[in-house]
Amino acid sequence: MTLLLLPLLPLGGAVLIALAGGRLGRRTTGAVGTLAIALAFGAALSMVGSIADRPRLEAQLGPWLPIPGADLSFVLEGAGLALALMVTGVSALIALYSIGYLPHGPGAQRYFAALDLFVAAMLLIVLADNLVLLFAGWELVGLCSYLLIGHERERPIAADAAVKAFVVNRIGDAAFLIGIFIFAATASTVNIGELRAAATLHLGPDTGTAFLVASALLLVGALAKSAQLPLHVWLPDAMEGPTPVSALIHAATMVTAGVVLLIRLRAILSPEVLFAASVIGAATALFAALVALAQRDLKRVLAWSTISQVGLMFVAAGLGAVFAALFHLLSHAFFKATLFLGAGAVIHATGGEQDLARLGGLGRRLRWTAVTFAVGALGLAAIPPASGFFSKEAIAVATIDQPLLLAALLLTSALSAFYAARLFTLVFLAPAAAAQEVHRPPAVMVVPLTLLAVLALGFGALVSAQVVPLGLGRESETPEWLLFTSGALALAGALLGWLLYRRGLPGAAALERVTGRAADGFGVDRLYGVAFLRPFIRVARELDRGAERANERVVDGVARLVVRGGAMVRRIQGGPVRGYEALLLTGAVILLAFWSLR
Amino acid sequence: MSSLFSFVGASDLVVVPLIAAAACALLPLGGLARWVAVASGIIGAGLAIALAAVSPPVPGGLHGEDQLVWAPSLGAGYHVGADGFGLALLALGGVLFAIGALASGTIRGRGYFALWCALQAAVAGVFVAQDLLLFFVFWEAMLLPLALLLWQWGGEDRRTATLRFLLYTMSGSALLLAGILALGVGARTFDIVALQDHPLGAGTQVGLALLFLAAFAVKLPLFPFHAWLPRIYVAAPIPVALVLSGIVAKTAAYGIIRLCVGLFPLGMELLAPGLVALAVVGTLYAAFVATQQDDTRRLIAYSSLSHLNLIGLGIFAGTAAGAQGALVASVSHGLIVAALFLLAGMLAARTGGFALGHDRGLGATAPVLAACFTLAIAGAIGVPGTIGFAGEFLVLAATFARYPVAGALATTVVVVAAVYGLGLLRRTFAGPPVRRVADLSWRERGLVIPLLVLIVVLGIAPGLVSDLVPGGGGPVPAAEMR
Repeated sequence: MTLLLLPLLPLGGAVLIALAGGRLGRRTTGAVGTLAIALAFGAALSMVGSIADRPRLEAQLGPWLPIPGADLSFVLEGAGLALALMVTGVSALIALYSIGYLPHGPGAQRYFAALDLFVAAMLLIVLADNLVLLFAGWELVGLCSYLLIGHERERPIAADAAVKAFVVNRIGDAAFLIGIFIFAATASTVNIGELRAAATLHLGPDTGTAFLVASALLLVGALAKSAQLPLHVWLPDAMEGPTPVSALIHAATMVTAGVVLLIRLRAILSPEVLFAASVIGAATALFAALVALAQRDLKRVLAWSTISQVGLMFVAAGLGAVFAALFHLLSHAFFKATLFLGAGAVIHATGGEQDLARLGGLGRRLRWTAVTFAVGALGLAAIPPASGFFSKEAIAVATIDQPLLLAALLLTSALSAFYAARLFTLVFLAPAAAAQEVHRPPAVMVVPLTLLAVLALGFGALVSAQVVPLGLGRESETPEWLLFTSGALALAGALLGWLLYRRGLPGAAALERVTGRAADGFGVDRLYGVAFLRPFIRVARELDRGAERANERVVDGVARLVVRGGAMVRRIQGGPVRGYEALLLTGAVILLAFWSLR
Repeated sequence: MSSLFSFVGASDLVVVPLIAAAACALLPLGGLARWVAVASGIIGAGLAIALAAVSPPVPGGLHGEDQLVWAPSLGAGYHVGADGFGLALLALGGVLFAIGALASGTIRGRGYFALWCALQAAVAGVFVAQDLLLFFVFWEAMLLPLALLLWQWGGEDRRTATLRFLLYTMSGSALLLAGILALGVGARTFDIVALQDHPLGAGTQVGLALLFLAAFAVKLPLFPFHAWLPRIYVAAPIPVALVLSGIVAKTAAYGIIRLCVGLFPLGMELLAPGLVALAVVGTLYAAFVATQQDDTRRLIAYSSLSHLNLIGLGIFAGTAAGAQGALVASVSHGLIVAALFLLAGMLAARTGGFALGHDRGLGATAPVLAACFTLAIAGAIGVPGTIGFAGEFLVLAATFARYPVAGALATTVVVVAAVYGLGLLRRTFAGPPVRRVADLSWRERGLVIPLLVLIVVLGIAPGLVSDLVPGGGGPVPAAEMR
């Protein structure tokens, strides 16, 4: 029963706010929204004991679609509880923070309703016991991201970013849907447990091919949701949403959904497809790290860093190292939420400034924000003792048999450390470009920030020391040489970043000129404009102006003929004969023709 | 439970709105006429639900059956009754006729409401007729009130649009009549139930199916027989457009499944590849064209066309699962298109027209309108949790099970739908607020919120609709299910 509360509590919160929020006021709305998620967190916490007794909990709400297995039923197993705790815990903190962050105005109702629905949808992805219900969460996450990215709808740029996010995700969703259809058609079920059993049975080669194609299609869905190459283009633009929304999308929900999918379905998806996920993940990690180097906007650095880090999770999940993938997913959630909420505190304090060239010198004036941000940056840079260090080690050891993947991973690590240091230095240490008035964040923002920073700092060590279990067994221990190499690389990268940008050395300016070419994400967006968007519009316009008009003209022409013919008949018969009868005549002719043929 | 409603018969579904029509036409009701029409719709929906609660005497038989042979030599008789498909659509129709009548507040006149109720009676007749001649009578009877409503109360282009609509649908009807006569005279009966056991050769089945399809393809409409549709939707008053698209079009879907599939299963099987192809093309084509529209009603029209072709696709897939999906999609489309038309009307009342601007920024001052519109669009583009998803998913899954390529192609419509659906919201509600508009009044909310509630409730419990017809775990041809 408690299991049902997990998705239902945030859902109830969303419905309550949507129906009554207008009369509640901003603070009460926020409190209700936060409370609903916090209660779900409590429900998840209360299940820690019972999951230890029984590794698999099930709960059913009722039937849903008339398709075998497509019921409203949930299952908690494996990584489920750890994920549910993270999703609800981090989201509750983000919701609390939002109460302080959101500007005064009537938007709070929309905001918190969508936020609660977002959490409920994400829990569907984590807990659904069948692919269709999982897909429902999958799509609803897309809808909520659309609502929240476009929250400030008076800004056209935010509205455009919201539409782009949804449409790009829909491409993945279409693939996902077809994948579900294949599973349903070949295995006659969409239940994940039954599909697992079907996949382990060695069925005929036909079924193997069907599962391979279906797996590939599900992977396309995962690439879109998790903003991996080549469907990553929506995430950098999604920065137009309010900053806590970015924290939610990047840390607790949405982009990690693809990794959750790979973890949950690893026994179903074909090995070839899983390996492809690893390769794509590695390519994305490296690609996005390079682009992150070049960003001049505080939030965009973080956005590209997410794409890169999720790429690392794909590497692990694809290689079957689900523990490593889950571990990095969780520790990334903590440090990325810390970073985004810290960025929010900076933006809030400076009245909306997020240009790295104009920020600076905030270390002294926002001391606590700087400390928490530093913790987050350590996690991103994977420097001990931050959580990111331990979780990235776990991924590194998984790639040890794949030298190319390992190389990509190590290179990404060094780059990540470099741009994390660059980011922190430019915001907090470098001399300020302009004197700014600074507002200190209110307690309602500081408390969640602090809690997240504590998790970002301590979580990794606790898991590594096996104090905190994640529900999955650890694959293997990291050899010392690897621990040392990657730690050294990260430190070197961070040190270089700090040295270069602290005083604005000439080397930094030269580097910026080189990397600046990558600032637009290597022009992928422009390429899509030419390759897909413009042809789409051309086809649609051609159909509208061409085929549609032609069809109307033909019918108009026939109609005129009939009317003229009717007028002729009227002259002959002298009565109110309409085209109807002329047509009945036609019908009779056909009837006769038909009978004569028999 | 079942004995409680056993006095209800399928005839009542026609008689009640007919009485209402007569009352509106003959009695000096004044403003009360509207409420008579509303009551007629609500009673119609209630009767359909009550009938569904009474199990038919034979499993798989008709609900509320009533029979009276009046021309045994001809094999023609008065035979009514409703199957599960018809019942669901009758309930939907009742709801839509009630809400449409409520929304007709600004259109005064008893004549309007008399025609309104007459249209309801004719539509109900199509769903309950179990005799081909009776079916045809009701089928043609729909046209008269509809044409008069359009002709009298329509917008600018109403005369041309109505004429074209009449000519087009009547040419279809002529072929249908030809088919009915050919079949009935040959088989010496017009009774639909009896005809189901009448053996027909494959060639005959194909020919007859094509004749019947001619009428249904125009009325639904199926691509490329839709040239009347955008113009009528623009010219029609909002409530008429609402019932025309929401329920009158469904008579064609019902006709295909009850008559074409029911009487000519082999013929439909042979025609299926072509029809499936046509429906897939239509689904995508209409969605693409919808992205290019600058008028709210035209956008809704093409979105609607896309969904109607999807319904056709479900039926043509030829399986019980496909038919079940088509039913859910029919109910879904009816509710969603009704909500969209109402909201478009409310929007037009505020902005002075249906033109889709850019950066209108109405979200700032009309947040409830924006929220309702967003939910309705979410249904239209098939977001899970709405019945829009349930219908779309079931149809696509059933299509894929038999025609993988067609099913996969049709699935890509979800991307195009997102483009036109979110485009509408983007252009209307986003951007800096250009002007202040009033938010939805309580009266307007009362009209649209029941529809939105149904869209969500049936999205979570689609079984309420889908359990009315036999489904199928796998691809079982509908003909065998019978």
